[in-house]
Parts: sequence; C-alpha cells; structure tokens
Amino acid sequence: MLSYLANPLRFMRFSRLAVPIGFALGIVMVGLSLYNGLLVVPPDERQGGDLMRAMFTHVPSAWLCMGLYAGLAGASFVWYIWRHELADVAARAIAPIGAGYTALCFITGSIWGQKGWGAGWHNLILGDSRLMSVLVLFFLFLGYMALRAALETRQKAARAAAILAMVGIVNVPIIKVSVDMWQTTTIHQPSSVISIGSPEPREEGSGMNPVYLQQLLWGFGGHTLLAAAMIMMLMRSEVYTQQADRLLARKLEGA
Amino acid sequence: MPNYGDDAIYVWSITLIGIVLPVLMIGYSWLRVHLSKARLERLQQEEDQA
Repeated sequence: MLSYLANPLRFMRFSRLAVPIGFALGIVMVGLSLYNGLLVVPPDERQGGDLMRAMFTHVPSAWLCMGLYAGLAGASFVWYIWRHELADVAARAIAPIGAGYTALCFITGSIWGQKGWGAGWHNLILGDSRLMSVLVLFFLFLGYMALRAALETRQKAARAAAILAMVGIVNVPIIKVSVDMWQTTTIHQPSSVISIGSPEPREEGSGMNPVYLQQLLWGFGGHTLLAAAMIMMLMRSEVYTQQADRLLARKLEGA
Repeated sequence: MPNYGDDAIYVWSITLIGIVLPVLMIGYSWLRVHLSKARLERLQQEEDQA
C-alpha cells in the first residue's frame, strides 16, 4: 500500500477520494464518541465523577500526538535513508497537525488537572513529568517547523529537520512511561488503558470499563481519520507548491 | 442539557476546545491547499497564454 502510494501521481489520485471520506467518517466517529461520552455513559466515581467526561477529548488527542510524532520521525527516517521525496512531503505535512493535537492534549490536560488534582498552573506544568514531557513534544514540533523555515535550501532544511525529528523520538516513550515509572514526579494518574512497566501490581478489575473504552476508541479512530485527511490535504498543497515552483523556475530560465 | 454541577465549566470548556482546535486545523489545511492550487493554476494559465 505504502509503496503504491509512494508515486506522487497515484497519491494525488488516491487522496482526492480519501480526503472527503476521511473527513466524513472522522466527524461521525468523533460525534458518536462525544455524544455517548457526554450524554449516555454514567459518571465514573473512580475518575472524579462527571469530570471524567473530559477524557473523551483529552485521551484521543494524547494518543494521537504521540502517534503523529512517531509518524513524523518515521517519514523523516524514510527520507533520510532513501531520499524519497514524498516521505519528506509527508513529514512536513504531519508537523503542524501534530503541533495542533499536542496543544489540544496539553491545554485540555491542564484544565482537567486544575479541577481533578486541585493543582495550580505552576505546579501542573513544572511539577508533573507527564505534562512537562508533552510540552517538550509541542516544542519539538515547533522546532521542526522553525528549522524547515529557517534554512535557505529545501534539501538543507529537510536534512536538518529530519535529524531533529529522529532524535526527538526519544521523548515519545518518556511521555508514555512518565506516569508509571516516575510516580514521585507526577500527579497524573497512572495509565488506565495500557500500562507499561508499572511498579505497582494492579487490583483485579481496576482496568478501564469497556463502556468508556469503547467511546475512547471511537474518538481515537475519528480523530485519526481527521488527522489523516488533514495531512493528505497539506501533502496535496505541498505537491501543488512544488509543481508551481518548477513551473516558475522554467519560466524564469526562459525569460 | 445534562447537569454536571461544579464540573460543568471544566467538561464543557474542554469539549469546546476539543471541537474548535480540530476545526481550525481543518480550516488551515483547506486554506493552504486552496491557495497553492490557485497559484499553480494561475501559473499554468500564464504559461498557456505565453
């Protein structure tokens, strides 16, 4: 599938159809998740009663921002090793969408934490390893975009930004394990869906109730489709820009 | 509308931000693709006329 779409012409044909389908399905799935999460499922007293309804916005954005960074690093790796131009186009398109979802995760997490943990802004950001590592992820996305804009040639910018993206991937597992491994530096709750390396054994039945998990998965699936559609739109934009630049260069050569 | 008591302001503001930010990103993506396509079409048109 990926090698089929690696051809820009095939990608443009595929994305013309995939973008509207992605938007339509994504909106329906996110709408379903929010409707059920806000109005249908009962409040969970273990997670702060009605306040836990924030989870249906916050958690999909948290999963997605880490996934998008992994996508950025993966696309950068493909460009760096094989110099495949469409991989660079994809990396460039992922960065602003990743930054947007990271901002969404950080803002919603901060608001939720203010009420849920009773912590002020200062303690939330500086005293919590999960929020701090998400903030670092946001700056990595911004740094990637700034680096691309700062260097004069496309090749130099792509090379420097790809190295930054690949090095920055180390932050993704740090975000994931921050709440399980470093419990003294976080006020965030431990992972409730997938737990890696938690030092404390979990009680029987302490995992997430399937009623909530189902809505989370609808929300995550919907936001993933929306993000994919936006990334394909930005990739289409980049392909148009490159075609226009080539046309302009030809015109200037002829003049 | 459900009554979330003291939590209402937090739940609804988080939900609103969760809707507004993706909508802004969709608008940004649409604008970018629209502008770059218009530029390409204008340049193609100029080349055809020359």
